[in-house]
Amino acid sequence: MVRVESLVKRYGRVLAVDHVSFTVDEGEVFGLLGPNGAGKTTTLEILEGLRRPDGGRVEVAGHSVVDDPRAVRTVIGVQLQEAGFFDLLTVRETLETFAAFHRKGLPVDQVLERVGLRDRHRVLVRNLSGGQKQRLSIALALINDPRIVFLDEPTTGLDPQARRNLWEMIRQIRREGRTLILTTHSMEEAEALCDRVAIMDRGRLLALDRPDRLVAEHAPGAWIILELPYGLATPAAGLPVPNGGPEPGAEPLSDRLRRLPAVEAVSVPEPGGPTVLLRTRDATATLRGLSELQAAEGLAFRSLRVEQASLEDVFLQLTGRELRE
Amino acid sequence: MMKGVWAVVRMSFLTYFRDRSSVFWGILFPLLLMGLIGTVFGEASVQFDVAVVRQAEEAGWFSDWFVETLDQIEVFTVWEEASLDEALAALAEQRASLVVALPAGAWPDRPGTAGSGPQTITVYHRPGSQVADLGVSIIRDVVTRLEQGISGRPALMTVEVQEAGGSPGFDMFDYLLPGIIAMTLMQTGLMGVTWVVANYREQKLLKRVLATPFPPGGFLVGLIGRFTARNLMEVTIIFLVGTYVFGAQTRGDLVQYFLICLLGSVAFLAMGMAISTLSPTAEAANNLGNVIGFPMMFLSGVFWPREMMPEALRPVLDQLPLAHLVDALRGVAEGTGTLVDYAGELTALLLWTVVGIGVAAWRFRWE
Repeated sequence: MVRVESLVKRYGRVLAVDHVSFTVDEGEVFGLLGPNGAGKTTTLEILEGLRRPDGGRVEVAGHSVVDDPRAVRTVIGVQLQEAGFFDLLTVRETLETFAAFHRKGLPVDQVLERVGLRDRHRVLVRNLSGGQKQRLSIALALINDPRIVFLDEPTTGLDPQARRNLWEMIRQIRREGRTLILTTHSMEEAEALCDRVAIMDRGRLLALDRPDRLVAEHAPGAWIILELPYGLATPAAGLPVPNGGPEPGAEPLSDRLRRLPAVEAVSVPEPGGPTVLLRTRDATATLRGLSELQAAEGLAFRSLRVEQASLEDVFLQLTGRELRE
Repeated sequence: MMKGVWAVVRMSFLTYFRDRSSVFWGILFPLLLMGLIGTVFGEASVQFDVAVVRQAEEAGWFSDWFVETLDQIEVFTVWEEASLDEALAALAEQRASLVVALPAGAWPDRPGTAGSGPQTITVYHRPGSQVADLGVSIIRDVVTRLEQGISGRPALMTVEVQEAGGSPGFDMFDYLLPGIIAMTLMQTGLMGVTWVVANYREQKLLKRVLATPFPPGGFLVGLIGRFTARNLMEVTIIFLVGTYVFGAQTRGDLVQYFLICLLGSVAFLAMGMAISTLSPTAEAANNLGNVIGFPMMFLSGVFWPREMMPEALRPVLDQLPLAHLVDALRGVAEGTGTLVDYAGELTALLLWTVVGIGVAAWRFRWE
C-alpha cells in the first residue's frame, strides 16, 4: 500500500529524514514512533504529498507522491497536528466544505455519527473542546472514504478518557479495512494500536517490527518491582541495606538481589524509598530465586509485581536515552 | 472543481455574516464615509454671508427694500452691521463673505420719481476669492432690477435661460461617485482582504486544503468570487446612497457600469490574493497592501483629475490599475464612452487579474 525507499529530506544542512525505507501493507496499522524532532512528521508529510522529498522513492497506493500528488490525495485521508479550522463555521459546515474539496465522499451524517459529534453538529468549531476538535480533525480525514488514513499524533494533549475513546475510534477505522499510518511519541499508544512500529530517532529508522517482537529482540525479559519489607529502606546511595547499616560480615541485600538468577541490573527510582527495580532476562528464574531468598532470610516483601519490558525499554536500548527527555 | 469553488464561497460568506466586525467595516463604514463626504460637499456649495451697512442717517424705504430683496435670495444670509468698520472686521475674520455698504447720499422719494444722479453701492470681498465674483454679480443683478422698479423703465432686454443640447452639466458629486466606487473596490482587494490567505496559512488551514485534491487555483477563485459578491453588494449600497441621498447623477448605461465594477473587483482581488500569498505573515500582507494601495488612491484621479499631477508623472500614473478602473467607470457614468471605448483599460485590468491569480496559485504554500 505504501512503499518508501531510501527517503531523504534535508532542511538546510540538517538531515531531517536520513535514508528511511519501509513498506506498509493493506489493512495494517503502522506506527512511526520517536521523540519530537525524530523526523516522523516530516516523513508523514512527504507521504501525504505536502512536502517534496530530496531523495528516494515514495509510492502511495501505486502513485508516486512526487509525480502525481493529486492522485495520492484522492485516496488518502489526513488528520493534521495542530491545524486550524474555519472558526466561524459549524461542525457540519466544516465537513461539508471539505467534502466538496474531494471528488467522492461519505455522507456527512455518517461521519458525524462515527466520530461521536452527531449532537454537536450545529456548534461553531471555536466552541468545541480540545477532544472534540481532535475528533472533528479525524472526521475530516474520513470524509472522502479514504483507503489510507494518516494520523499525526492523534492523541496528543488529550485527557486519558478522550484518549481511550480515540483509540477505540482508530480500531474501528481499522476494522473497516482501511490502512492506518500514525505517528506518536507514546510507546503505550504504539503498543495498544499498531501492528508494526518503526522506531525513529534523529531522522533515522532504528528498528521496525511488531511491538512484541521488538521487545523480544531488543529488550527481552521483564521488570520485577519490589517494595522492601517494613524496617528496611533504600539508602541515599541507592542500594538497599538492612536497617542500621550492614552487619559486619553480612552480605548487603543489594548484592544478594543482584546475584539472583537472570538479574541484569538493580535500581532504585527513589533513594530512601522502599521501591527496588530488578531488570531480568528471565522473570520466572528470578522469581524462584526471590522466593528462596525470602524463605531463607525470613523477609516479607510488601508487594511484588512483574512488568513486561515495553517499547520504552526498546528505545532506551537502541538510543541510550529515555524517550521523553 | 465547481463544487469546491462554491463551497469556498459559501464557507466564507457564512464566516462573513457571523463576524459582526466585518459587516461593520464592509457596509456601515462605506456608508459613514459617504455621509461624511456628502456633508463636506454640502457645505462647500456656494453660500454667502452678507453684512449690510446703512450709512444713511435715517433708514430710507430703499434700504429696507434692498435688504429685504437680498434676504430673499437663497444663497444669501443677510444681516446688518452698525458701521462699516465692524462689517469689514467681520469680513476679515471670515464671519462675512461679502460686505455691502449702502450710500449715505440722498435717495429718490418714491418709485417712479427721478433722483439726483447715480448713487454708489459698494461691495467688499476678500482678495483672491473666486466665488466672491458670483456673489457680486448677484448683487449687481439685484440692483439693476431694483433700479428698473424705481425708474419704471421697462427692461429692453432680458436673458432667458433654458436647458438644451443633451446632458446637463456634470457636477462635482457626479464626478466623485464613480471615483469612490472604484476606490472601494481597490480597497477591498489591496487593503481589506490581503490578510486572508496569509492568515489561513498561519492557522495551518491551507495545509488542510492542500491535503485534499482541490487545486489552489480553485480555492483562490472561490475566495475572489465570494469577495466580489460582497463588493457588488457594497457598491450597490454606495451607489444608491450616492444617487438618492447625495444626488449624484449617472447618465451612462448601468449594465456596462456594473460590468466594469465586476471586472475591477476581480482584478484588485486577484492582486490582493497575490500579495497575500507572497507575504510571510498576515501582518506583512496588510502592510504591503497598504503601501501599494494608499498612494494609488491619491494618484489615480479618484478625488481630483490626474491632470492636476505633475506632467512628468502622468505617463506612469495613467498606467495604474486604479486609474484604468476610474477612467472607464467615470467615462461610462458620464455617458461619454462605452465598454468599447475603454477596451484598452479593461484589457489591462483583465491582465492584472490573470497575473494576480497566476502568481497566487504558483506561490500557494502551506508554510
